[in-house]
Amino acid sequence: MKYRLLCGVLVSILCLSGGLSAVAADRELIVGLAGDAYSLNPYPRNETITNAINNHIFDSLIGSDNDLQPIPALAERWETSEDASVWTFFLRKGVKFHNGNDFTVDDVLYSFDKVKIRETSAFSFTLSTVESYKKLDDHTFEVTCKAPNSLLLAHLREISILDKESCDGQTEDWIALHPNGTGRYKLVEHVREDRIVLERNEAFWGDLPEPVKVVFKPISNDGTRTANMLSGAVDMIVNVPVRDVEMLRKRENIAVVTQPSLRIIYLNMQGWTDSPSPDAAKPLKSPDGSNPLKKLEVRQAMYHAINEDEIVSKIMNNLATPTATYIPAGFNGYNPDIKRLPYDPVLAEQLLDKAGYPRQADGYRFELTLDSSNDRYVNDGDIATAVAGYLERVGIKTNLNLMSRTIFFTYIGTKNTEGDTSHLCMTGWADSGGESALMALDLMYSIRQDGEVKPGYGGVNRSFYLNPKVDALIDKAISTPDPAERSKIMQEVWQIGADDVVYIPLHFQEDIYAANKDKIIYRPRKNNYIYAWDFEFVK
Amino acid sequence: MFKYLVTRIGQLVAVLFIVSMLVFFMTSVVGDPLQLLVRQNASNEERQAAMEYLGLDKPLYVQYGKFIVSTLSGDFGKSYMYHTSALRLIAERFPATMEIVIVAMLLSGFIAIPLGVYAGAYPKRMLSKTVMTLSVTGISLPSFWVGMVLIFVFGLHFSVLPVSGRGQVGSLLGIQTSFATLDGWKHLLLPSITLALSNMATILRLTRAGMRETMKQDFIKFARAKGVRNRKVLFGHALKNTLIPVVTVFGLQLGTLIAFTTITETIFAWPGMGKLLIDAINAGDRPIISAYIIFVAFMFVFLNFIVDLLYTLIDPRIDLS
Repeated sequence: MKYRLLCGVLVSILCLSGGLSAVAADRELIVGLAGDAYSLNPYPRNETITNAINNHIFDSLIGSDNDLQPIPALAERWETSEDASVWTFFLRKGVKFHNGNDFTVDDVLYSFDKVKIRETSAFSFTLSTVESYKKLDDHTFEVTCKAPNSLLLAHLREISILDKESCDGQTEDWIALHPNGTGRYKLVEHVREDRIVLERNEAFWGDLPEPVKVVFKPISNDGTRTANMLSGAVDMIVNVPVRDVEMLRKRENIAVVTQPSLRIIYLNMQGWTDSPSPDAAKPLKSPDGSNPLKKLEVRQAMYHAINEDEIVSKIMNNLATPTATYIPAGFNGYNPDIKRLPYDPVLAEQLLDKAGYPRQADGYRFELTLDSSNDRYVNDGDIATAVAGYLERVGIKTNLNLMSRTIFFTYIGTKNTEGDTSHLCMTGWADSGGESALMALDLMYSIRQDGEVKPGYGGVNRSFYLNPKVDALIDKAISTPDPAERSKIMQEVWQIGADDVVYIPLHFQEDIYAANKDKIIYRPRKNNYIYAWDFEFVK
Repeated sequence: MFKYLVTRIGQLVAVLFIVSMLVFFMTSVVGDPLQLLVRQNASNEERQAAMEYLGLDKPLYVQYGKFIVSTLSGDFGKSYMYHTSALRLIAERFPATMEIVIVAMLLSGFIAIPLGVYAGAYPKRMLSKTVMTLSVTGISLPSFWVGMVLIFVFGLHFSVLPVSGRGQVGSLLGIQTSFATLDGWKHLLLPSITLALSNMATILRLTRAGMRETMKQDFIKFARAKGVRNRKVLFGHALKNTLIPVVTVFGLQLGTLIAFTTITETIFAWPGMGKLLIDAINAGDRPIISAYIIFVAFMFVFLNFIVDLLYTLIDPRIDLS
């Protein structure tokens, strides 16, 4: 009797849960992510998954389209002074936070003040170029930059707007546990490393997204994520491991979606210094003691020596896109005229001979060390090994120095005070600002071995590239408010960079997603941010 | 008893002190958390601010002093990754880990010990030999492989159990737990079995070895001659006398399971402490790593204490002091 009763209870529980999920499953979306959001307080961490989740809950003044160009969000429109130094923002009226509070200019002021506090904000850099900001009236807001800055929008859009009324005076922990934004979704629950459940904010100021309820599940193990997709437990997964792509493609109900990401993999060469970094035990050695990387022909030769197509097909399983420039198409300043130097080992050898580095008795021209991480980028260790092989083939003795990312980035940092930066290293870079000028000021702006030329500029210029003309052009671009004009200036910068072979670009990694095609269509974003409003239901 | 307690607590303090030193200095050497936290193109001021915030600008012994002070006050500092109390993060994850560990240990206890008794008492029977062979496989198969196979068979091929995750939690005696719902149990099963497998094998083999030795003793023969029922002979007389090493290992295994479910939790996307540890190691999150290891050391000392107490219950001749 007891047993029967138990059965009865179990059956009814089953029916109940089945019935409930059938109602909600209609417009419900379950996504398998590769990790969890670190915090639902949008400021302390700046990281893809955390940012993407927080963007569901919070809005910024500026939004971005799929090419990462600015579009209106909480600011309905904006105006700028002639030289792009004073910006006026007109805020949207009638917007409410999830808890019902009104959105006003005071919330913007509060959020900007908070984002500047370096101790608790990873986004303080977004306002580093801003001199001051003030309220003009309840829905108008003015920002004054220290210098003309046409890239302000790309920074402002990273600032999530918090509700002053509910957050003021609360601790950081409290804010993290009570996220309250104006965004498309409200938080239902967050169980760390298990699930984040969001429901649609019916009072959202713009177009309502299709999914009524979204569940994000952090599943960090690649195999388990694939298994979840196969079993139908999730509707979509991100970061599909390369080895599972073929298997998933064979399934009738699964669509595999790939898209070049913003992450470019490239080589840095210290070609603008006479004292290249000693690089631990294996320094750069040439017969006459000079720095061969200083010669343009040598850099060209190294470029010609690398068979990128082979890297893409053999190492990357064709899930990468070779590139000639660091800028993804669609970004302001993308230059379609720049072409890759073709793979040509014979020409490479000729160039090296011409540069004054003939093969010595041991068959080598000179010796260098290639530093690379082996757990940061897709197949990074294998790519570096292949590159070393290609260089060896044209007579450059290449020592391989592979490291874990936890030490790699300290080791190669341009601000490494021990002076132990790398004379040749393979790194990746991704910038989701949509403005190639932003990338240029990090990657191309002059920096010397002994310090910055202009504070805050050239932070990842690991080649120590020095070119006042490029610096001037970047400065000019930054003070040019007209996007078309700015694009033209930046195209020139990238052309100069390509002619000087400042870096050797390899490829853009591809982002791979799998989705249940009987239920949804997913249009991926370039920056790998997963947004519920990029999904469309089939039925 | 009092004297025993005092020595034990003394030991605990010594162990924790040594562990805290080891942990702190080792995590300081491995990796630079700053590089993982600050943007690669961060300005010097940003870097400096982050260093000061994390206290990394101070010399190592000052950092250690601060660490000890905060540890003694029960606060292990703020996690670099999550920007919230390290101890709270561990406490948050503790129940989920305990769930799979409890089920795994129950499985080991209730399956492995009886099987071990059987295999030890009747070593020549077919079933005993089969069990012993299987136990070798249990020990030698790595858990990440077992986990994936279980997912494949039960989650994908037969589709009877969910692939991963914790499932629904319900309220049981005021605690939020998977034990309270059917869905929770379904999610629990595969990770628990994965965890239990190698444990079961160890316990089984240990019980069997002890049983074989005890079964040859005179008091067993005497009991049989007296006409004691077989079950009583096996479980009352023989098992009780082989239990001391089994309980010792059981205690240690329990500790190991609670502390290092890392692999199983990662495979099954189980939101427990083990996953927290591996994430913290990957990110160089020192407060979590130190808090975690001190927590684990504390737990081991505690479990050993419980095991010692159990000895006196199993064998009243043992005197703790």
